[in-house]
Amino acid sequence: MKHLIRKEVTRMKKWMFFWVFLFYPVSVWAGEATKEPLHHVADISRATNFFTKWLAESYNNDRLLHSIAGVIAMTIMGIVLAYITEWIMGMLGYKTEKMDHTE
Amino acid sequence: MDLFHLYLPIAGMEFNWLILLAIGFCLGVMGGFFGMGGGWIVTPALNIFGFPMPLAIGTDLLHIYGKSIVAVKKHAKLGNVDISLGILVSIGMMIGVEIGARVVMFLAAKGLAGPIIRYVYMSLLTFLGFYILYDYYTAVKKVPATASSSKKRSSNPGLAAKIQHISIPPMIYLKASGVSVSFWTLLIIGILIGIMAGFMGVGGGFALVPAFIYLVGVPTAVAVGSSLLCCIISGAYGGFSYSMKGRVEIVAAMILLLGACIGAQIGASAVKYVRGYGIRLLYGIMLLLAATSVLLKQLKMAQTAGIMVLGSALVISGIITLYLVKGIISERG
Repeated sequence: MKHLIRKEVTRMKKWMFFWVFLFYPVSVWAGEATKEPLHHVADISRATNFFTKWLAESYNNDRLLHSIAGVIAMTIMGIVLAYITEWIMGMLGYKTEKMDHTE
Repeated sequence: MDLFHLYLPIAGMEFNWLILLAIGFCLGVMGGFFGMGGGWIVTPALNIFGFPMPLAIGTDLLHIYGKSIVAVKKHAKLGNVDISLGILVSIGMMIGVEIGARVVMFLAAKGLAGPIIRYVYMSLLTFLGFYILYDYYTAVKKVPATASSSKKRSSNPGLAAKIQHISIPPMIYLKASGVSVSFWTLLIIGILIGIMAGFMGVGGGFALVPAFIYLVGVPTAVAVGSSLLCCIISGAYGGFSYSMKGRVEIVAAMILLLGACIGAQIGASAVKYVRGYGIRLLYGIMLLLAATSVLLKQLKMAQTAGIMVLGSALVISGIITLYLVKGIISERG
């Protein structure tokens, strides 16, 4: 049995070597590299609601404010979602932090 | 513009928000179920669906920050977070993330960010896919891991002891973990993992946990909780840094976070009902399909690549959800 496993692992290693060191680099070489501009301007006219319009404006005018707003938005959303999901799962009778993997 | 399309101002494109929600949901289910963050699926998936690579990385990092807040709340309750360890490693990670981000921006200016990062992802996903298939194969055959890997495992505590014996001052005593370690060791671990996180847009949890356990000698539960704290700090910094470089789509990150939070609850609840290693086989295959889809994207077959990456992730998440529903029905009926 160990012999079989070893044989199988050797075969997998050969496949991995083929993909990672031969096929993938060739594909990267074959794929076209496209230069992208490092600075672009957000199109405010296409923004449909206040939030996206404000995001686009702050992106164009004040990158620091835009970045801080992004981090704050995710902080608030993370905290709110943490409480909501815990509350819903608690109502359904699940305490996920106490669960063990049964495999 | 129809009901399902949303204008993303930074990406400058109309995007189907259901796709973003689905990506978030799938990574949440897989992260909750398998215990791996799953962040390394988001960057390639966003790139396949049209985000330029630096924008995909920045958006992924910001969403990881939000997701880590949700996860760390649970672990903090259990007292599994070593604050000193988390903060000290995070200092290194922030330096590393900035280096990684600058390398990405340099490559982007040369037009090489997409191909090179896709190559790294293809290799990583292939490695992980084969590793999980190998794990499945050995588990099914009921044969312990090969002699070489057991030797490696037994040598790990020795390596941790050697690293703990590096006594370059200042030495830091980690109270919650009960170990003393050089500040420089923690800084170097942080910088190396941070570079990877900043370059690939991953949280780094899958490298932090083994590094804490085997290199620092921290107990497993504390390693998991503390790694989440590192993900919060480095994710926030990474999101901020990429945003300053104009490479974060905040709206997309918010939708991803919403999907991930719903999915994570389903994944974490399903572990109670899913038995056997069959699901791991599917997961391994899914990772190999994800690697193939990145390859297809590189070969300009974006549509096929998108169907493949999202389809395979939805299939595996659907199976896990189905197991959960069946389990609940049989438990209550």
